[in-house]
Amino acid sequence: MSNLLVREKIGYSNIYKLSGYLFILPALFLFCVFVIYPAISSLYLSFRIISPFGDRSIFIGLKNYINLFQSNNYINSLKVTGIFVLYTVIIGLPFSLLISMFLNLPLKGISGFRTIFFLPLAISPVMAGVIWIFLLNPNIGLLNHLLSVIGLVGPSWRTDPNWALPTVIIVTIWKQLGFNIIIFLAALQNVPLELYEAASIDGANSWRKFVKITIPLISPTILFLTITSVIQSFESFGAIDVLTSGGPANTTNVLVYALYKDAFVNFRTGYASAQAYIIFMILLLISVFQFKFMNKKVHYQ
Amino acid sequence: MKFNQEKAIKSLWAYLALCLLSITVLLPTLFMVFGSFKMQSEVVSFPPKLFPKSFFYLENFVKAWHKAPFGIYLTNSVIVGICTLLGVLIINTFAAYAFSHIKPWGSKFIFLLFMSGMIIPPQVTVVPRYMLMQRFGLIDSYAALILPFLTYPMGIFLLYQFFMTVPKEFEEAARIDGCGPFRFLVSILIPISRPTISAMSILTFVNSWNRYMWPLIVTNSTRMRTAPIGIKMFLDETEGSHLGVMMAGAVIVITPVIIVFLLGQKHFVKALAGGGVKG
Repeated sequence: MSNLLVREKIGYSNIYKLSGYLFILPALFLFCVFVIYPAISSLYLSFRIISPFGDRSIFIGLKNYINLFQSNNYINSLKVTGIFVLYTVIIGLPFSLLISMFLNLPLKGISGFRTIFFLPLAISPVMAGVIWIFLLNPNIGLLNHLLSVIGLVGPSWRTDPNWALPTVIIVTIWKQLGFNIIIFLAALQNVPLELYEAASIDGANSWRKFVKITIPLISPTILFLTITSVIQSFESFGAIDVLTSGGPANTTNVLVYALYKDAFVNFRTGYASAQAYIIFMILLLISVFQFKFMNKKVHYQ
Repeated sequence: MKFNQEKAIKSLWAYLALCLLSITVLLPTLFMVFGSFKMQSEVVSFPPKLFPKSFFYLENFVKAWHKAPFGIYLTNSVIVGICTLLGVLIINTFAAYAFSHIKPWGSKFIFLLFMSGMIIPPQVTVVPRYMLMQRFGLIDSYAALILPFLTYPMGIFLLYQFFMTVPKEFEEAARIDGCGPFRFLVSILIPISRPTISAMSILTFVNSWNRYMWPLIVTNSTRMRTAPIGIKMFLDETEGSHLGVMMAGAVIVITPVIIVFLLGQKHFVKALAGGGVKG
């Protein structure tokens, strides 16, 4: 009797364990087909030159990578991406923090204001681009008119080689505001009020309190948002496609946009795959940097 | 008394700053929404004005609706969003359950594989993924828009974390009562992890709704385009013609999103920020 029970138990637990594979199978299958296989295939393709219809290909070693780093267009894309990411983060984060500090004040009706600033969250990068097209229109847009009121001549934002990149930067900052503000606000709400009160008793002014209390206590959040917005800006595509399509004269041709054009407009599959791996390596470096930095320099409560 | 007065002045300044910042942030959206109600003569008149003469001039919307099948675009986005959401929920709760409770041999390794897959950016896999779709003849189909996004490692991670907090004894007790692993997952685990699942659902749906590069590549007919692609094509086709109609088209596409956001703002914010913020 007890033997039977033990046997039944073993039988059940084997079936139970086996059922585990069934539960994992769908996720694993789709993951292998749509992530693992393409990731490996991309690396393989990056060492080859492929005919536009994909029916013939030849191994050419590192030639795609060498060509990329010898191409002025690609060097330009690297630079444009660097500038784009740097400015969206350096301007975007302090601006978001400033707004979050206002939104953290104990004022009546503050939740209404919060809704206004959370709104860009609901809007996709593409729609963000679309929304700004009209305001920036040099003929009928309000922005250039407002600038002319204060005596400035507004550029033709999207089509001016000097202003296209700043335009894309402004729109991206605007789009990222919602997320950044929410995260900053959560961090600010967690700073204990007693600390500020104690500092006031010691005669500290607002600036000192900001530098000595707020900044150190929210530093993990600052780091987190720096990384997320670096990655998000780096992967920007929708807003750029709508606003400038990488132009004029490649001034907004960021790495991801260059990849898209080479893969799906010029049909240079191998060349595009090499670009994909360069993007991958850069993002990997950022992640490693984040991981190292996160454990060291940041103040945790 | 003096203290109160000082405080009142301070909050007055804060209100002023907040109003100014709000207007700046809202201006692009307002200009577009108000512009969609403007007659052509108003749109091109100089100097440009923010407000339209009348909010009952709806001609632009009628023209936009006739020019492009926004109904189809929005329906496609909804279909793709809902199918992706359902698929993501089923597939990833299953996997998370196996990783956290059943733990068959080798599951730890597979879990790590999923987690490390998160660092592979979608741009890296886009070219071979497209070639796969071509080979299977799935270009310009719902399957192409949905299938690649069903495994959601971040979702597996979130659910795994939550499922781990449910003690093993729960399942053993349920099993003694004759409840198998599938029933345990569906009737006990899933109901108690509702907050995690709803956050995951919102993220999945929003990501699907906003997706742009992939649908741009794999769709080529009007009847398969999702809303973001539809609006881009609409703007390209109407570029330079009637700006009021262009703005109306954009407003048609964006209105459902804004309504949904305003209705579910609390859940939205919670899902994105992981709790801790009061709307």
